[in-house]
Amino acid sequence: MAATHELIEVVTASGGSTTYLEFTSIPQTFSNLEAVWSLKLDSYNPTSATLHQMYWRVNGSSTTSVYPNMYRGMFYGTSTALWKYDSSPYYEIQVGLAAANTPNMNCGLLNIYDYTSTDGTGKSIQGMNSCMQYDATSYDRALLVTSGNLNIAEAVTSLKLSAYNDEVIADDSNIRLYGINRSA
Amino acid sequence: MSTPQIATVNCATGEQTVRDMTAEEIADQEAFNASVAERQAADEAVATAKAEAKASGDAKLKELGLTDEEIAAR
Repeated sequence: MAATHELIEVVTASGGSTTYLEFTSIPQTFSNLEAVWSLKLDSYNPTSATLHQMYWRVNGSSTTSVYPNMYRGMFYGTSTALWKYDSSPYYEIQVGLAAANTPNMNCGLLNIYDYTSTDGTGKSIQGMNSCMQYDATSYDRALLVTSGNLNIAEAVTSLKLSAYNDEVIADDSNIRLYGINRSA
Repeated sequence: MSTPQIATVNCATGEQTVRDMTAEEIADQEAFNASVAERQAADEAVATAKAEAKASGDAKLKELGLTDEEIAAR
């Protein structure tokens, strides 16, 4: 199959109470998946977010051996932006959800390589994102790269994003899911 | 607060639905929230201990005569 970069679907928050965004029945006809997001939290629900992290899970799995990952980057003026998790029940992206009072949504992308593989190892998940203001009370910047393995012995058929503690994702926030074929 | 909702797009049909989470999904979300809070607290404890050890080490280096610039360059 020729190399392609094809939009599969778009999922959009609506209705004012969305805490999960999910793709199901992902086609198994590509080499890689690429999710491109523009996301922020809702301004009224809640009025103050506890955490702005985004949490990704595939195939509904919360098994800790599935998502070992590390991140590196910059939280300007605040704590260190360097960490690793040998095991994790989710693939976490720091500051993936912009605060409600930010002028812009957080923008970033996530790539899952060889997502149709049924081997327990070999799939790879990589993310990068930036947010020019992520804290609800101060001007700040966050620039992150996040890298992980995806150790699940199943092809990826669903992809779910969760916000923390029922924090609501602002309406019109969206994730675009693309399929990529590497072969020429 | 209203019941949390989940927006799902079925890639096979292209249909997007927005619906209230089921009791099972809410239970999953509560367990998920607990796991996030637990790990967040553990991370913060590690970060605090690391910062305190660094501050203590920096103070000892300063007592040995190193400048702030020399300490920061390590």
